[in-house]
Amino acid sequence: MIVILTTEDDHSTCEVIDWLIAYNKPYVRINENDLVDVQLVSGNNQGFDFALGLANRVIRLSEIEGFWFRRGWLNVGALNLSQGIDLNPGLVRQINRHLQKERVELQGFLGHLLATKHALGHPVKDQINKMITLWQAQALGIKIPAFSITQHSSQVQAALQVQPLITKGIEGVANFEANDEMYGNYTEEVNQNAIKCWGSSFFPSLFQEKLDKMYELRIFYLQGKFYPMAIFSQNDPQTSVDFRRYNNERPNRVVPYVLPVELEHRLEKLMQAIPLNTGSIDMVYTQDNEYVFLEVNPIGQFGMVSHPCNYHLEQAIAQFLTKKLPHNENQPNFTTN
Amino acid sequence: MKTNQTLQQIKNLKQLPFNYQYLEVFFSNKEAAKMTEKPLCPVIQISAYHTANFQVSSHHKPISKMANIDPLAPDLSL
Repeated sequence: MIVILTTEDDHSTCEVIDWLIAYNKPYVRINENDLVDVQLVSGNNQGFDFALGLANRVIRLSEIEGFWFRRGWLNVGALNLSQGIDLNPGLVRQINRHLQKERVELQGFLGHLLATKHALGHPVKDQINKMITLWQAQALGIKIPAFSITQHSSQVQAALQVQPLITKGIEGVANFEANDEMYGNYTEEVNQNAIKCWGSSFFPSLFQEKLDKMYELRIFYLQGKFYPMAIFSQNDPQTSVDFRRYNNERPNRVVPYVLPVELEHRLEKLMQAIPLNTGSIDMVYTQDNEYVFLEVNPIGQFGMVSHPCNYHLEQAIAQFLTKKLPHNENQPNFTTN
Repeated sequence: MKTNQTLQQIKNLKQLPFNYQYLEVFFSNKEAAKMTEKPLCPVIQISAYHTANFQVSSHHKPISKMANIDPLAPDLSL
């Protein structure tokens, strides 16, 4: 059995499952909003095991042969004390905080056990530190953009005198929901007005040199193999700073790409150092003919690379998940209804 | 860039990270309710999955069945 941990709205998961069905491989899809019943988690000197209830079936660790951590988390121990009970509200908050810690610890342990199988992705290691990754890339001889983190506008002013800057989150984009609306931000170029607007000091923020791009690279990595795609985003003002500000009327041109072998070797070392066996790497190829590393996203979208480049990544993932299973069949069987 | 009162309130808190001044409305349920999706193909329909009102009716439904695609078509073969 192959277990997939994902979210219910992830379309790429559906496409991979299509291939598992074609390969006649049994699978269980666990979405993060599926409440998982912890029937038993056990361990002794002979080993570890668990039995998790999901809807009307039981998933046993010993029956799992492959695991794909696509995204999300195991929804275990969802009990929280309600605010309406007859307890000091401060005590309720402390108990809930402790329950949350207990939940996270259990989620981490179950995720670790799942990842001991033939696994793609890791539920515990999905949150990498992007700044540490930059440090690792630089140590491996991969070029990175100059950056600074500061909470003082004077520092930003000084840096802006040297080169154009962009700003983005240290960890990632902000994302909030309220009043039936979703708020977020993109990577943006910094200008004098923005500095004046935000005052002399603020929360520590990331500023990075604005690279003079020839094109961007989105590279999907799957267990030692790279699937690069070039994105010609620089000629469209709407997408030149952040290609995710998609121009639906006139989409960026994207093409399959071949990385230099030496860069592949360095990126391979980087993925091993992090460590990740899958992820989406963002890079820029500059007007100075340099490859500059930006970040790795362990759970990035790969459909946007797979389809335009004909990489069939969904099939490749399904093959990875099934290749060590017994009775593996290389030919899909489409005769099922 | 779309903005509204809630965003303006957030942006008035100047002690927040610098890039918060670029916050914008990514998605609005009210605006989405006015939109009509064109049934071009399953991938395009489902590409709206970032939206909060996207729904998946079951754990999994093979795309080939949803789109009435011939699974033996050349582009799906090995």
